[in-house]
Amino acid sequence: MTIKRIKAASKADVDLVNSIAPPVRGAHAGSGIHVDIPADWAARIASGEDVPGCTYAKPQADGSLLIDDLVQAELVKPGREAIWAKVVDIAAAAQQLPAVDEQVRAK
Amino acid sequence: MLNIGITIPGRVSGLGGFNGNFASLFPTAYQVVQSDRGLTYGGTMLPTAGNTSTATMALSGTLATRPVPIWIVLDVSGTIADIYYDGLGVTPAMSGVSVLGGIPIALTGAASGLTITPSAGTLVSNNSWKATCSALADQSGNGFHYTQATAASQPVVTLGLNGKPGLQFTEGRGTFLTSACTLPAPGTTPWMICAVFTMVANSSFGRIFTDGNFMGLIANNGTTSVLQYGPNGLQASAAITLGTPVAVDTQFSNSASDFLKVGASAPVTCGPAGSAASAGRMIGGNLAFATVDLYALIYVPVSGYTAAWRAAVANYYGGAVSV
Repeated sequence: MTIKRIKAASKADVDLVNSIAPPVRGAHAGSGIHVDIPADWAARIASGEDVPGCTYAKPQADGSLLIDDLVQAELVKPGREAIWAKVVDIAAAAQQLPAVDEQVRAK
Repeated sequence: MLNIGITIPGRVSGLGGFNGNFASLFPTAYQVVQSDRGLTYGGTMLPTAGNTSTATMALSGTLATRPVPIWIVLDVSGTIADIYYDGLGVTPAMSGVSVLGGIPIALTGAASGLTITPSAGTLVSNNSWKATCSALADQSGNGFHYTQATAASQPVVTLGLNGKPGLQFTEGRGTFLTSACTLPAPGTTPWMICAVFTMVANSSFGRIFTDGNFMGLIANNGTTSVLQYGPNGLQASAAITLGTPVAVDTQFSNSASDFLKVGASAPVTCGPAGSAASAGRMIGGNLAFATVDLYALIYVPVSGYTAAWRAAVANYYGGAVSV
């Protein structure tokens, strides 16, 4: 499996990835307090809401979206050139660290 | 005089009422999470390195008992699998299971209640998938749950210690969990991090417990050690042994009396690390990622700290943790 990123993913990009690899509900285990996964979890994710415990396409803090082999194989198909042009490998994205981290990197 | 010990199932006597939930020892904690309580498996299992199948494995259901690592490993035919809960891939819990797209596989034994459902797509011989964690609930009652929606960034559930699972965060995959936990500026309200984890491998300033950047504990660069990192930069480091589970206490008060205690080693004086409020907390990273196995993490005001928790850790994990 090779994980890549869609740079600066738009809402349309996120929706497309979620249509290729539909969101799934997580599975609770063990005792104690658990996160609340609402019955309408799928609809909430589709409307752009964050639903803890589920697995779905969600942009990272830097606005990029991680995609696996399955999604990459669909995005490379004809008609999706625009989104595929925004796909980079993780190493390329990781080089763009915020300036606030320079103190640590320079140590 | 005759001493008669009475053991109440589910409780550890003589440890301040510890009942297996670290929140019971830290009633004023901001946040308490532990990998054996309130875990939610990710809905999509993680394809392991080298996996070239296009089929995915969905994990669903509810497990009433303690979480276990779950692996599904195809044999050479690509249509038959063994399923493991040992976290090692040595002793299968289920053998010779048929794997067909869209046909659910009901798990038995320690994972009874859960189901693996393969999707349509190719299944390649000897490929495997592992169960991950998409959420870890805050046991403090404050609702600061950790979550990760992206399958590729979810930590893997591991065998752990003394029957309690762990969560494996990996620098190479960039795994992390986030929560909305707010912490005060420590110069105003001092607080502590109390944690049980194993540093599996060193990583260059990999964030272990931070606000996404600083105000927390990170791995050092080069030497195998951990250190406080805050607005004032890197503080004195404390050595840590790779592969050895440790209990860690570290105090943030933005003063030179702060400390970092790793396992049984003497506390290292460090600080002042600076004072900044946290509007969210992360495990595992952002910017730089850590490779650790996590078992427990507590954020607590200094006024609510109890050293008794280290004895509870020693007992709960069967002596496997250096305290």
